[in-house]
Amino acid sequence: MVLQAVASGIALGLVYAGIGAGFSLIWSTGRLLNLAHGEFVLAGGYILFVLCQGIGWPWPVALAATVLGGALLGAVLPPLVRRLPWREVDGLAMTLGVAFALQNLLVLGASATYRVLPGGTWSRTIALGPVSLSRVALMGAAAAVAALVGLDLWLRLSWTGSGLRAVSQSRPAAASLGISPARMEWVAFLAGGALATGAGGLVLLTRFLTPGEGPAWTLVALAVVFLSRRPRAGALLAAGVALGVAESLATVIAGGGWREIVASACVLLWLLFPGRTALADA
Amino acid sequence: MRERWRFLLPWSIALGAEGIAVSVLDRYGIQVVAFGLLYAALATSWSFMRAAGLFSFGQAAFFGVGALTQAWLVVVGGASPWLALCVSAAAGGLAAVPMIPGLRLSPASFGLATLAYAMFLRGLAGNALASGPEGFLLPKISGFDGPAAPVVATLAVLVLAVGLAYEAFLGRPSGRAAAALRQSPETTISLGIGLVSARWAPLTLSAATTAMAGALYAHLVGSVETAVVFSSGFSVVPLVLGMLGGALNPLGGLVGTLALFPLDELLLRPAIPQAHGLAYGIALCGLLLLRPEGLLGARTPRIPAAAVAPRRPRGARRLAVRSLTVRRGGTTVLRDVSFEIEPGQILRVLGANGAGKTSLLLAIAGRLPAAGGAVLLGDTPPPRGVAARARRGVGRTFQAPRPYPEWTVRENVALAAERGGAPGDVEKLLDELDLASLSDRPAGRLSVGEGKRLELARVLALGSGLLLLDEPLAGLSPAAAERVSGAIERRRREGAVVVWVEHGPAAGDLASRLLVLEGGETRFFGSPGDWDAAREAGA
Repeated sequence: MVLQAVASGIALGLVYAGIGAGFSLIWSTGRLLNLAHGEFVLAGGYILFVLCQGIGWPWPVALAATVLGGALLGAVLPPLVRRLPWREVDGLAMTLGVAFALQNLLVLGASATYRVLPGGTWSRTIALGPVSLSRVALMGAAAAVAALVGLDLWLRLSWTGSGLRAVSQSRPAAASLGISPARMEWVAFLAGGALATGAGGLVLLTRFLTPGEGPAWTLVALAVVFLSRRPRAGALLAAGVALGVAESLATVIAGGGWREIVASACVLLWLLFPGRTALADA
Repeated sequence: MRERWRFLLPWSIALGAEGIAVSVLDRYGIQVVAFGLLYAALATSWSFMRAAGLFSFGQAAFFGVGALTQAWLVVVGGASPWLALCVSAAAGGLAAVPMIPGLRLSPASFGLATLAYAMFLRGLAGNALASGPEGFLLPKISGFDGPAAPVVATLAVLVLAVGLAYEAFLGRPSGRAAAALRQSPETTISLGIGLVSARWAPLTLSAATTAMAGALYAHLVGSVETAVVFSSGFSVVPLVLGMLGGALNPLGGLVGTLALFPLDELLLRPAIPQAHGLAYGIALCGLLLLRPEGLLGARTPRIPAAAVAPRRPRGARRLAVRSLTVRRGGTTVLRDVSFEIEPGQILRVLGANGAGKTSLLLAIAGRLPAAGGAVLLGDTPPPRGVAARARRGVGRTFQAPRPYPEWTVRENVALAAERGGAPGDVEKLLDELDLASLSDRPAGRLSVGEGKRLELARVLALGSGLLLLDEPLAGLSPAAAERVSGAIERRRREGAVVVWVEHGPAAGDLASRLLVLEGGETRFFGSPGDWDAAREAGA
């Protein structure tokens, strides 16, 4: 049972890494801690649900469309935060407002009913030695790893990626080199939104959704980013897996309700531990 | 007196109007008024925390604790609602204790911590407590059944009490310290004000009053569901209402509630009952873009003009630095540095960029810990931390000025004088540094040179016996530099110990000792004359 929990935790944790990657990208380039990130994840799940259940698209196609939808959602943020004089705190409050508005819009559009995709051939399990995982969980984990590795390569090797990295370190220095911080911010918000909704789509493939879960997903993103310490694919994947395994083990040992306690405890311990420099203080 | 009436009048009108409304309304109407009062109390409690520079995104933590404690005591313990109300408030205050380490964090990080705390407590309450996620159904108790008169009246008293406590807080030294922290934490710590000591009272009071509102909510609704009382709505709605009225104003919570709550309750809730919270999300975004200071704007406490500055430096003792080694981010920035200076001496610290000059000042001030060696004041090591050392007479200026932008030049100096607590004259000090003509100007509008003079005036007003000065003459005109040098020289003659980092010649002219740093190590320590002789010999 413990081995099975660890395996499920690893698969889930890889998707968590994808959620954390979007959050990390928006924070490092846009200097914005996006409290609406969890609602972006949920929105991704709901978009995928409508496309698969409402229109009948196959989920891989629907997932691609969800990622595009997420980029549009990410585009909501730059015009809102651009004029904020004190982005560190006002940006948090702004994204909290966006999160609350999105949460209510999701309730309005999808009601508070739990949504889940019905099982099919993809939900069949594959035995991997002593453990077994559903095909869709494996596919989701593989998609998350591919997205993170692709993101890392893009940031390291592409022209835009080097611009994003330059802006994340020093906006004035980047501007003096002819890199537009505002443009890079747009790119980061679009990519961050796409990663969040894509991860939300992957979440829906393996579990249910309900509109009130947004803050819990935001905490997952925060926990992954705090645990990873560095916005690199490897660190994010390791942090996501650690969180996923911890949550799965907590579920096995203490029950399903302890899941969200794990992520919130990680964030709390990180912030309140003496001598620790928090993300926002860096 | 007039100030007090100006504050009390709107409260009296608003609460009087609510009282009249309650006497003529039906049960639903009274319920609406009761919820209005509940949110006004929550919004004012949230703003109270904001006054100390704290931003809470998780007031639902304290609200939930209050509601659950009340319900548990009444349902399981059979306690009187009044007794339970007191215990619930205490439980809210206790629930704030785990957040005390977070008082050292930046406002954004503290906000994240409160958000996580609310989620943590929600999970804990839903799983670990006997109630489980279902919560409690409260029994019908005479006077505490729904929007009954005692509940509504207690809510009205709570609104008034939180507002008055906030108002009283702003008028006290602790309120001024909190306002100082909100504007410039580093400067405030350098005046001897600790982050935790200045912020714990607003945090605890805000938590206790929020918990009390949660306890009254339990009777208002008649049931307590864990997922509901810890839900984000009880964090977001008070924040929106507080910010709408003006978070830095004791009346802000009440005004914000009067402005938005009736609109929500009378128009939006009937139209879109499931998603009426949309209005609060949109209002928050619009507010931040259009009027972030809120409808009433900030009410920054003023620094009393009667506050006085010291005449003589206090706590002037020999400064001894013994084999000091300091590391920053894994790099050794000071290695085995030693020197001693006596009261009435100026030590000039010289060195190229990156030689370790500022790190030396930070280590003496308590901002950087020593990885090896020691700093001694007299014969004893000073206490740990900047604030504690500032209270023992260690004063510092910043290389780039860090004034309190919302206060005038006079108020900036008067606050330091108040913290220093010795007799003197603020006006004389402003005159000494040629700041008298700028005394009523907000410090946020000073030039760099003027800001530099204010930096020195502030540290002199504090009356520190050990002055750590980081390039106080940089960017000053020759006339201003002469005034500043003269002021420092006078403090030296009065017995202060001065450690002066400066590239220009003025500090060298006044210095009795010279420390030359190179790559974090001591290249020379002695008299300026010996240094000149050594250089000539070397040349």
